Amino acid sequence: MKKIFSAIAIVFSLTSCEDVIEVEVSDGAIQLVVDAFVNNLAEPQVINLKSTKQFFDEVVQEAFIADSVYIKDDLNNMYFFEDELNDGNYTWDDSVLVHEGRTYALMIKGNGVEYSSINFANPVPDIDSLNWEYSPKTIGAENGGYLVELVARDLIGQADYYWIRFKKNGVYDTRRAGLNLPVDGSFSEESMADGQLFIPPISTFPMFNVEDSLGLKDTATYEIWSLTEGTNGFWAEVLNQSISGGIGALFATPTANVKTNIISTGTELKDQAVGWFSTSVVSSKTIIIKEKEGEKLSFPLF
Amino acid sequence: MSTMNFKNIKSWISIALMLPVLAVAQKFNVSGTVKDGANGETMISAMIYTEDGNYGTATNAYGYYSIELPKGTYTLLFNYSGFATLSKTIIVEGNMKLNVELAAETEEIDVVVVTGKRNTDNFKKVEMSTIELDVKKIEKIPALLGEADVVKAVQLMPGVSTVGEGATGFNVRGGGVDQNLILLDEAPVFNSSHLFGFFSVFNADAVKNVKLIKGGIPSQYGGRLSSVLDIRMREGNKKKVSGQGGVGLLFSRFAIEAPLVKDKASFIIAGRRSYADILAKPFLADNFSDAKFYFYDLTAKVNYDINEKNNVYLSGYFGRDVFAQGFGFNWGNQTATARWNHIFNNKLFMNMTTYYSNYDFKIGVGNQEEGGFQWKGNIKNYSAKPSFTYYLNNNNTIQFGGQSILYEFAPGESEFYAEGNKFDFSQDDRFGLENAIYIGNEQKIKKGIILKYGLRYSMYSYLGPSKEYIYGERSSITESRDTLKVKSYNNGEFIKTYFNPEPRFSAKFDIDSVSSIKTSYNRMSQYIHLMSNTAASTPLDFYSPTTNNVKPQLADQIALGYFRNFGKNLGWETSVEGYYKFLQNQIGYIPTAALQLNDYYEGDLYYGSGRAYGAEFFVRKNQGKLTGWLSLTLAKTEVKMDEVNNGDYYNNRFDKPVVSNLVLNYEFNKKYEMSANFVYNTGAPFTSSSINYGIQGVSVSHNPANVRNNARVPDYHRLDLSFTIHGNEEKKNGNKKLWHGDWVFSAYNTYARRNAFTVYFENENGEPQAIKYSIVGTVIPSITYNFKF
Repeated sequence: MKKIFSAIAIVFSLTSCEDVIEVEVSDGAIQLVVDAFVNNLAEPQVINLKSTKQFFDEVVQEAFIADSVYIKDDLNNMYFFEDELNDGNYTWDDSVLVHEGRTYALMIKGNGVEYSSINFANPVPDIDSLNWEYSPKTIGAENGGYLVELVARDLIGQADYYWIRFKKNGVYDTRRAGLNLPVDGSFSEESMADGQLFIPPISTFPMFNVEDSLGLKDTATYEIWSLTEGTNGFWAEVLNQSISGGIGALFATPTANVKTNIISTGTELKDQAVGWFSTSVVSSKTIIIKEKEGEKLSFPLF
Repeated sequence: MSTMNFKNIKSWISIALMLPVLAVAQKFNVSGTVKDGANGETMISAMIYTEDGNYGTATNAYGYYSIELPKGTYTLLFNYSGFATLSKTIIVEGNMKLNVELAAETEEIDVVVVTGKRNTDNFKKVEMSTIELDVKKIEKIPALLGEADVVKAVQLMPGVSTVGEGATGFNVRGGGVDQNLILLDEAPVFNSSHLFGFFSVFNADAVKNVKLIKGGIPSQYGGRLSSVLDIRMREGNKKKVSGQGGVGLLFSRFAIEAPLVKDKASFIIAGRRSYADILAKPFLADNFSDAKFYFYDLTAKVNYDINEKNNVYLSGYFGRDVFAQGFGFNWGNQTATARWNHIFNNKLFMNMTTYYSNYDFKIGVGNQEEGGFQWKGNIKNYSAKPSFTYYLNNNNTIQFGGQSILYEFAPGESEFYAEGNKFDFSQDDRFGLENAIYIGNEQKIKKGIILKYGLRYSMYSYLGPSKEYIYGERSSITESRDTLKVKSYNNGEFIKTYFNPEPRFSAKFDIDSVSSIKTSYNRMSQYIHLMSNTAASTPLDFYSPTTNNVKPQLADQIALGYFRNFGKNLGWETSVEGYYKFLQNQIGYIPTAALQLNDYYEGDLYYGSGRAYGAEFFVRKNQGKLTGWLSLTLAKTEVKMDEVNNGDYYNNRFDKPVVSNLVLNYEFNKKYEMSANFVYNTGAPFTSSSINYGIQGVSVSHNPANVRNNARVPDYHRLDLSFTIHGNEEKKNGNKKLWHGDWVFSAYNTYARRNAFTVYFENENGEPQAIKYSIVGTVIPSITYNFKF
């Protein structure tokens, strides 16, 4: 469709334009947001509970104070989460929470309603190594920087859903455009990439601007998170929400809501929840970029 | 002394015997055609009445009239706006034929002085909720790029609106763009505009008369819920060769007409073509340098008056919008109509019409060898439509007839080519058959009261070889329905049939000699549905037939209005009209509806009801140097679906609470003329997420109650100006020039307002921002040279 848009755009290019404006939107019902992505790493596990906010309000989402938040696995282990600071961040840090192969149920009680969800912990491949190499410039980054490549292979057999995450100096990349969601070695179950090595663009971190580019002494971390098919679908719907601007707006359809796996016992709109509960096994590798110490990238730069 | 003899007695007896015969006055019909003396064109809705005002009638769409008069002597007056009233004294002793030709008013005659010519159409005609324009009125409105535009003129009238520049259709009394029955010489046209709404497909050079009926729709029309736009083409000059055209900055037009047999047969051909792409080439960026974008259309008609009782007409339209830049994208309408008028006797008139109409679109790139794809869709219809008018007597005119339409829907045929192979992704074609019969009467009860009542009975069948799709329930309100079964049928097999009686009624009551009250009720049914879930309808939207799932849409409308004229010679027309319309079986879409190339699109639909109501205020000045009108519509149009917005009423996509238009035209003198129009309306609604939240640092938008149209784009207003320099029609010695021309200078959107067409959101880095997209963000000037010979 993009080609059609650009062709039509030439007719109106001489006359059309875009401006930022203020828009009044009638209020929507405020609901609970459950941000519960937990994993098997030996670090505090955080479940974030907040209220949604009106679309254009420039406010921070309010914390949701629950009566109890816990996860129970299929071996009857209970993990109770506490929010010491009453800021909506419920934490568990007594032991490793997620174990591969187990099923987990999340239970939240609050507001006179019970919220629950279920997810499963799938396996994940180990990361062989990370390669890095300096590139004077690359697509999306006019300034040079180190490209860091993930070397890992998809698990053979079943269809695997992964979320590959990158951290620069310990901080996650949270851009929508940085969401990296491979299925097996490619992007769909049917693609015959089962058991394959990850290749670009999956295996390299996308740098869109100067802030992303990596230099000497920066720490780069790759994490592969295992997902269920449902969680992969959740992220696909989030990615789908970006609407094409400009002439594409002529052909735009109303924004679709993103699905949720949080079920509520309440019947009213305000007692429903949005968000997602996911249990992942994570393999992780970190390097500090030092000149000449990295293996060259396995794909040619140009 | 004695005059009493046998001869005298015989005379007395004869007189005595004749008395009863004389007491029953004999009535006869005077009938004929009214034509324009300059070129032989028949005149539609011309008024004919006796000088005493006791008897009157009007010509029909073919210029034919029939008036019943008792035996006697009368002065008949023939009246048409812009023409000198013709007076004929006749002696009625038997049925008679009276064909007349009217002469145009010359500039010297002051319109005000002509006796007997009062501007009474506003309150005298029983028609309400109707706008009738002849081309002279349309030419006076400034339009984009200096061309008189039929559809733009209609959009300046009360009750009519659009969602903005870029919309391919218009909305009448809160109805969707597919709810208007647009007829060009009786054949339906599906996309009434070129270039996304900027120009209409109707070439004003070939148009004779335009009538928009918004309510009180008579029984001879059916098939759409909200309006009828009945456009009649000219026949072509029957007296001499003539032509007209215009050359402008971005496109040109030319029309030629001539008699084939003087006063009996003639033709007209009119064409237009834009060439903006050729002129813009030097200004476009390299990657657009081989781009093509243009439109063209051709309108043609041939007619022949075989004899006093028979005329035949053949007319057609062919138009195309073309975009190409490495790939091709084009769409357009084609129509062909053949008609035969037959006068059985001076009381019974028949018109027999058959037509073919096709709207199609096509996108394609590459070919089978090199790879690529092709996607096209169309809607075709074939129809026969006999209609009769029976002039029973002066107080009753009966219309009756029928129509049969065979539909072929090809929603999407597509092929992808890769590595020398062809992959077919086509949707199945679907078929439908619509039939109707109708009868109606226009009755004068007594002086000052006219009733028009009738019944149209329509039926529709979903036909094989279409497939029947049977669906189950949806798992949640935003999901598609599950497909349970798909059943195949043979050619012509009836899958599902619907019947709909459609009563029609309108009435006029004169209050005094300058005003009247009118009221109407109509029930309409619609069997074809435009599938569109985007911001505005686009040329790629397809039509769905009524099926076992998609029911016929129905509308009931009542209207009430007060009509009054003021001033010297009643030159000021005013009216106020209110309406209420209730619609059933309205269609909505799930948020992720996949309408294109999807045989299972019916599973993505919601059904509900709608209501539209409003008040229309109108003031028009028809005479003098300054003419024009002001129209104001206050209205609401809403929809209700169980799955949307908790089942409450919500704004329709084209709801505009306030729509107002001011059109002014000033004639300085014979040479200089200026016009202006100012348009103001509320911004159109759109669907906005009302909520957002963050997950793992990514911002997500949300719409908790599955609401629609919960926000509005900013208000729309625009000023257009135009200035015309008329060339002399006469040479210095007083003879008429062979040809003459006018220069028209115009500016569209004079103060360059960036009216929003739609709003979209960007929330890449945290907080969402609303961005408005305007199709026309600057002033568009143009210069056109119009000529006539």
